[in-house]
Amino acid sequence: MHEYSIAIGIIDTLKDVLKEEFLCLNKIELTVGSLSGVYFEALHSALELILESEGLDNVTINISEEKGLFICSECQKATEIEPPLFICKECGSSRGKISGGKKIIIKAVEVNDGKI
Amino acid sequence: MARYELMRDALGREKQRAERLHDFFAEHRILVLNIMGSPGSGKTTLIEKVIEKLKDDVTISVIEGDLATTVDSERIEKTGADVFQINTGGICHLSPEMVERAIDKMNIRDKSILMIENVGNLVCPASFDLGEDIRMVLVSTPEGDDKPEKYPVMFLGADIFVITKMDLIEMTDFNIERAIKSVQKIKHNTEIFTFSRDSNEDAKRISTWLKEEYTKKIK
Ligand SMILES: Nc1nc2c(ncn2[C@@H]2O[C@H](COP(=O)(O)OP(=O)(O)OP(=O)(O)O)[C@@H](O)[C@H]2O)c(=O)[nH]1
Ligand SMILES: [Mg+2]
Ligand SMILES: [Zn+2]
Repeated sequence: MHEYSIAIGIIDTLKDVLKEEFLCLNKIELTVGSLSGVYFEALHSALELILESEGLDNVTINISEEKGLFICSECQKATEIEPPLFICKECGSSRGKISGGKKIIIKAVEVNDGKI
Repeated sequence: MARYELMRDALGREKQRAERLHDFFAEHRILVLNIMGSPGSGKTTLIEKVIEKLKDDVTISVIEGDLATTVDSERIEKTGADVFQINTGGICHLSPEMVERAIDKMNIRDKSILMIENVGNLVCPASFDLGEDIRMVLVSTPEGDDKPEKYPVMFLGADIFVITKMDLIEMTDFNIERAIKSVQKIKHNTEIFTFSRDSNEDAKRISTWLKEEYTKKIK
């Protein structure tokens, strides 16, 4: 459950950025890499839990996936990685580089107008 | 309604802290290992054996990460190495912040080796850079040879893969070939070692490799 630590980091960042507008938070959009080692459901519930403890229980949390790519050194193609197979989907080679898919990005947020 | 495009790395702060640690360890020429593996995979045992082999040549200090207790740091103390125990109080991984706090309290010598034993877990510690030069991942033979396939993210970052408890292999159906193949499929340049608690040769091989890495780092 390292998702809980990550969720705390996300909420802290949002408080920092949004200041008093944090209390009007309405939606969080995240992009999570398929190779980041983060489970979407676990991150989702951790965020919900923390938001509730902040008195925010109607925030929409959108998590979209960013697939890691395998850049093949044999055929130069970039194909999506399907763990546990780290190979080129095109030619089957296992020689290549991994690109992307490792980060967890806070993409955007929406806040309601006006104070409650 | 207002919308803000942030595009911020959720682990941004952790990464900044990790960068500070990398800088600190580079400046002081400290070779740092982040040692990971399931609970009971033999992390502390391997650290003890490596210290035994290297302690006359290199100063070694250890950070022990556990949910609770000082059992592991007490074991390391007996080897004569400096050790600092972090109790995470339920958190399933070490964070760069915990390591920063630990090194503030330790007195790590310049030109030395720091071995960090992470919390026993094949998932969570993978997401956190602790400023290490080398990630070592252990799998013991009783755990099964399918661990790399089941926990690929951990092996994605592994610089060394150690198959431990080799003396027990006969009692399991652990297939070394299969384990090595799946590790290499995930990361082709991972160094591979086998290890038994009671084998002098095994301890020597890993220690010699580490000593070489250490020599490169202090140059
Ligand atoms: N037979 C055998 N037992 C081993 C070997 N290495 C470790 N053990 C035993 O396995 C148990 C766990 O070893 P530790 O070194 O404490 O494992 P660990 O990974 O540090 O465990 P945690 O810190 O609790 O996650 C101990 O009882 C060790 O004596 C080995 O090579 N062979
Ligand atoms: Mg231990
Ligand atoms: Zn290819």
